[in-house]
Amino acid sequence: MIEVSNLTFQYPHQDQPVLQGLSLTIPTGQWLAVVGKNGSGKSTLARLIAGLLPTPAQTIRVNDLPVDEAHLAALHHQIGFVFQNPDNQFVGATVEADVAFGLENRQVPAAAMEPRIEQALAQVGMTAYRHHQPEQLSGGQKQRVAIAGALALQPQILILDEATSMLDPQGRQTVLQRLQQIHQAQALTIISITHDPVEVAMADQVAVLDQGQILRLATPAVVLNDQALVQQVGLVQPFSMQLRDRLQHYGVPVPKEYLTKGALEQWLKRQLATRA
Amino acid sequence: MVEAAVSYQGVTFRYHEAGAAALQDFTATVPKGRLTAVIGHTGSGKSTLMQLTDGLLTPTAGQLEVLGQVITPRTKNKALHQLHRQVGFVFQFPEHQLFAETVLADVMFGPLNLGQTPAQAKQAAHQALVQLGVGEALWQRSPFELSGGQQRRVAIAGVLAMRPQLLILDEPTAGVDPDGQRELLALVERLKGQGLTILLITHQMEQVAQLADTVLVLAHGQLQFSGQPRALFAQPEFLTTQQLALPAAVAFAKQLQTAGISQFNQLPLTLDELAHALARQLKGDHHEQ
Ligand SMILES: Nc1ncnc2c1ncn2[C@@H]1O[C@H](COP(=O)(O)OP(=O)(O)OP(=O)(O)O)[C@@H](O)[C@H]1O
Ligand SMILES: Nc1ncnc2c1ncn2[C@@H]1O[C@H](COP(=O)(O)OP(=O)(O)OP(=O)(O)O)[C@@H](O)[C@H]1O
Ligand SMILES: [Mg+2]
Ligand SMILES: [Mg+2]
Repeated sequence: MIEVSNLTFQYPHQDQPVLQGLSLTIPTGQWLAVVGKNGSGKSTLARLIAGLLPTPAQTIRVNDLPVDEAHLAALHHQIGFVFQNPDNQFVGATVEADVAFGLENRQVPAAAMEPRIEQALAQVGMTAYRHHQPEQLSGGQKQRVAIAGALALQPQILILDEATSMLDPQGRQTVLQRLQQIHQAQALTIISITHDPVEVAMADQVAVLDQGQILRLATPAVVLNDQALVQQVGLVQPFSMQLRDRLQHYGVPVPKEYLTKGALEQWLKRQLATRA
Repeated sequence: MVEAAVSYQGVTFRYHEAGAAALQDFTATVPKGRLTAVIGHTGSGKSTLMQLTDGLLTPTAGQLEVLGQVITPRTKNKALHQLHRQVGFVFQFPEHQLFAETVLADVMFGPLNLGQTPAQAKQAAHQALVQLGVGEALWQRSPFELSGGQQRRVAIAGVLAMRPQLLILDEPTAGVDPDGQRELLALVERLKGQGLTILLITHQMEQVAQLADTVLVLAHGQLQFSGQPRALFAQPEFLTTQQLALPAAVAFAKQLQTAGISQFNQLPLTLDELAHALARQLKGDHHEQ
């Protein structure tokens, strides 16, 4: 469980706090999507949870560990983090060394490392690049390696900061499916910062960050069907909702509730059948 | 025939002499005043192609012609100065492009470099920053003390402030919030309307369907397809082999057809086309599409 209580954070030399009295509880095994405008503080919140910025004392606990200097090592054993910019992530001279680095840090025995590296690289389709230098990869290849590095750790908590933003359509789908499997099989807690409606819809809960606080915490269906909220924070609705609203624009009386693609398809089927 | 802004003539590029070719015998043209989308799987060579187009790399073999400037394996760096001034390139990672002490100075750099007075450069920068929704509160900040989306907006503003003749956008909406994406795409559409030639790399098929006049599909450094979006998205099996996908509206329309729920004379390409076609059917207007 991750507990954030009354967290206020301000960057040095800035005149305004980014986060202001923010509270949030993330139960173990939950998939939480974090959404909000550019600059709303999503990455800052994620870094604070992982202890990658000076976290104010007694504001965040991760599985009962206070996030502070004294507990950083223990904390990092539990958290896998994929940065928004993969360039900030790499430490190894080669792709495999990079993935190995995190495992060494966690004192994974040498014999156990190789299969984990292999599996993680295979999961993101980067096996052929294991001897390449991370700086000499394409953008999407970098993101894949960064994801592999976090998956190899088999963390209890996985924080993804726009981790799939540069993957090709099928690559993204593969990664998301894999995450869903791990999430379900191993009660992995996922915090996914994203602007992508498909990723938002996959989450158990959505936290909407605005003006330094959690403006709303609810299921994707509730958040994405709240027109006022969607307008206010500029969320993008899933395809089915966009189509529903566009149909309405063309004078079709549409249902008001949250519709998945399947539900919309069924609704269209009934409507068109009565007209045939 | 529309005049070509860029033509690639058998371009091959290798990062390392011994390594695989990032681009292989690539031949295509980019029509002037149009928007050409460049798509393809992770690592297919899109960003490499754009670096060649901006003269940041020179081909290993073959040649290309960009806005009248011929670039061959023997072209010297200093011959490309003029080209750098005419081509605006927004990198895939905006961090690689930001460098100045403040956001404002960063965006002013391009115009100043083109010989504008400080006052003119400032005005161009102000305008571009406002267009990209970068609030004045950030203008004196270091570009490295910004969020990811803010950095990308500043990088795009810096390129637009140069008023390039050829605009290259390498995944410009990655990391930009939904409102920002909508505004950016509207801006791209306006720039296209003003006659700018635009190369857009994207993994979002909806952007291709909505904005592109022409699409180039790359795989493993080779051209796989060159043509109109409608022709491309009529080939779902081909897209699958390319690690690509149908735009959501096309996929949904096909699904409705397969399930026997609805029929379309011509598959709708965008959400609006789909909604329009469905609305007509729902209102009992069966004969039109
Ligand atoms: N190192 C820094 N120093 C000062 N201010 C910063 C720093 N990093 C971020 N900020 C500011 O803090 C605010 C929150 O930034 P953060 O990166 O958390 O936003 P975000 O929600 O992740 O945005 P995005 O969607 O653009 O990634 C922004 O206004 C940003 O300008
Ligand atoms: N600096 C470099 N040195 C060596 N190889 C490189 C370098 N940059 C890219 N490559 C390789 O060249 C190929 C093409 O890379 P490129 O960056 O052009 O792909 P891309 O189509 O832009 O991919 P993405 O969608 O992931 O950004 C890839 O296999 C990549 O690993
Ligand atoms: Mg961020
Ligand atoms: Mg690229």
